[in-house]
Amino acid sequence: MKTRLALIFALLSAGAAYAAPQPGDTAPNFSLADIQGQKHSLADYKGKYVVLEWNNPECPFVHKHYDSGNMQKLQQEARAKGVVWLTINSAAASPQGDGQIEKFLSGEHANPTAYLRDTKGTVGQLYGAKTTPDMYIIGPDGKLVYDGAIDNRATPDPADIPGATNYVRAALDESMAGKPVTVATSKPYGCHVEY
Amino acid sequence: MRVLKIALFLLGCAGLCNGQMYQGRQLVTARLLADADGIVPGHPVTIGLDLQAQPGWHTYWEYPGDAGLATRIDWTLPAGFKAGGIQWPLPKLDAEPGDIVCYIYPGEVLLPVEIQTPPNLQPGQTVQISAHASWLVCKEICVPGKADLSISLPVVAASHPANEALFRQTRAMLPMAGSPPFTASWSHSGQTLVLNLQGLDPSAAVDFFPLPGDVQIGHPDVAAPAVHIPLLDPKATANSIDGVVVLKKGAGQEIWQLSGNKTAASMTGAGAGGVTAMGGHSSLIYWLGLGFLGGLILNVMPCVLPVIALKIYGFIEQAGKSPRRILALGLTFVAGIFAWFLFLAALIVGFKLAGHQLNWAFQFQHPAFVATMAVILLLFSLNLLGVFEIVLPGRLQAKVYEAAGGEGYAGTFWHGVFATLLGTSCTAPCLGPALGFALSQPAPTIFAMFGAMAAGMSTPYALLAAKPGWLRYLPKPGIWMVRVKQALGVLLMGTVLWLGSLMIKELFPARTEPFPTQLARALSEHKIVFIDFTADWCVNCKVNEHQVLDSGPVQDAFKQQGVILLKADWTSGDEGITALLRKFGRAGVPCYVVYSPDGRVMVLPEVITKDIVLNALEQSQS
Repeated sequence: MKTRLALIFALLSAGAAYAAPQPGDTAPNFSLADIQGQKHSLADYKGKYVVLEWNNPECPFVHKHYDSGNMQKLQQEARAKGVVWLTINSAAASPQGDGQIEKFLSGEHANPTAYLRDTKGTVGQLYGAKTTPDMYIIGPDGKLVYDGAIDNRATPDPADIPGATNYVRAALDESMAGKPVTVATSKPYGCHVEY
Repeated sequence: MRVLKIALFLLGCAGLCNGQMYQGRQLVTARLLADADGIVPGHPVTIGLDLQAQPGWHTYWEYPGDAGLATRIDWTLPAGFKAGGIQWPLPKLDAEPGDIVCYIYPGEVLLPVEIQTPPNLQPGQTVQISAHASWLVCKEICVPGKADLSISLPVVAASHPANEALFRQTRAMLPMAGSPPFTASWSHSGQTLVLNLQGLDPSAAVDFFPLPGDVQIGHPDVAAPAVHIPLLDPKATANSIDGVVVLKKGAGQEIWQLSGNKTAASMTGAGAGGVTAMGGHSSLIYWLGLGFLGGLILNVMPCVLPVIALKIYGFIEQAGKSPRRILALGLTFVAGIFAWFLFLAALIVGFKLAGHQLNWAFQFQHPAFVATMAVILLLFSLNLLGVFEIVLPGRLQAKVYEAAGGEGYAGTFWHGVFATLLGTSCTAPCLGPALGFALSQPAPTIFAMFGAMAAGMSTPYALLAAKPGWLRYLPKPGIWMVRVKQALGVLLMGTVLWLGSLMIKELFPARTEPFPTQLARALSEHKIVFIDFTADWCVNCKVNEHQVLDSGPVQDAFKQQGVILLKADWTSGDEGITALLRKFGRAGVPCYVVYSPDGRVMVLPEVITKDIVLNALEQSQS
């Protein structure tokens, strides 16, 4: 109990002191339950690439990438290469029941490794997630490879997807090929996370 | 279900639409409003996009902050019309849980845009101005909105203000014209940009709204006179960002835009926007040199030169050949000259401050200011050429001289003051332009410049008072002085012509659509797009164009691959182009950018060869 309180305090102060990890930093560990109630800890996936995707089923920017199939395609590609894909919803509990999340996941044919609930917002604030979507890539060594936007077209318009540079795909490809990541950080865009 | 409704709303708005429905009610009402009831040919009109969101909902500023999206307006204008950028009123800072900060407009906002109109319109015509507006409106959730709007205005000989209250209220929230009452300098401290504001009124509360462009920043921390801005990208190379500084005093507030010295850049056509400090410095030395020279020239004006010798002889008589006393009297006379010039400077600064209150724009981008300057200069040049004379009435001259009192130091000081004042009858032609140019400068520069003029005018007196023997080197008055005067008149006339050409450019801008619009259209064709960022005054650009871009092999490759060639003309510092250059990490031209059909971007080096261009095209193709 004491250690848990200490952890929460550490997390809160980390958020307040603007200490969100940057590319090259060790990605902080966390443990969250998915919508089926199963626990997932970042440490479980050590040795693998992990993608964190901040999500809110009501946000038009999220719909831009799901209704167009852009996000699902990226999920499939990544998971086919052994990447673990954790979708995280850091919104406070009230606005969305988990039923709505399940409807979203099945309706959009989304295929993450797990959809995690972060109703207290601690993990979102630990990583400095501001928007939905907001994307993070963690390397097999547990270090942050990328944080920021999914691509370079900050609009809610699906028509902008074909011409956009997908930063997440590029960073995964480069990192997996052992090359330095050209764009390791960018300004995320979207709705703000409803902590 | 909400999602479905959003989708339905988006579909519903595909056609003409001026509102945003959400869950069965009007979420945002959008309309275009003009600040006048008609268009006067050749005069700008301001059209504002008025967005009225339901209570609790908000739209976003130019820099939305951690989340959100800036409102966009794409204009469809008749030939010869040209829209400027959105004049963003000061937003409100919105802090959300989770350390999220956004810059928002709660409820209603008016986003004004100045539209240049061509001079060849006929009164009686009706002009339709259309715009496609898109925005993001948020409460807990966000909903994107868009509307196709238009407004019809009659062409009239004289117009009356319209929607006055709303425009007045909005303009009060816009950055002020002119130069701010502080100097801004930037430095790095680790991964933090530090903005230092010098010369601030200590009683003013300071706030800073960042406009970082493509630079990723954290939340600015204001601790006047410094503002700390964390840079989030460890590889960031930015030395400064744009932004808005707000000074609050009591109930009032001043809003100042901080940006790369665009005024100086477009005035001289030199260098890039980023080098504010250097540009400001060298131009100050230039002004001071000019001021000194101007002051010196005042001495050879027909009504001043004869006075010099008389004055010095006067000192010699008074001082009874005591060299120290001659020098002391001379310096006192000089002090009088300085007093007069600094008094003039104070007058101008006061006038300028009053002008700020009235929001006059003392800027060369402003046609009205340029026109006024041109008329003043024309009058003065005619005066110098002898078309007419400015003379203080003789009786007044005598009275003033009497009032100056007797001899001794006090008398000599006042003689210095009044000699300069009386000299005004023929020094006005030189003071006038200086005055006009001074109006566009910040207060310290005005004082420094008039100080330099006083120094210039004083030099002969100081030198001769120190070495009265040098009197014999003084040029004899004669017809040559009139020639000097006329030569100055011709010079001024040249300046009038230059101002005229500046004005013509401003009033009749080339009829092209904004570059970003051209680019967006080119990109939508999914071909290779090659952008040549260039300017008339850029020699390297011309060399690259002549030797590489216009060469046979490159032209053939362009043709074969169906490349869309775009020329981004930065000659007059176009803001849209400046923003693009910055996006590509460049501060100026030349710059060459290749877009591949799938949207990849390649920025080529400043100095290009045929091979570099051909390679870039090949890589963009695959």
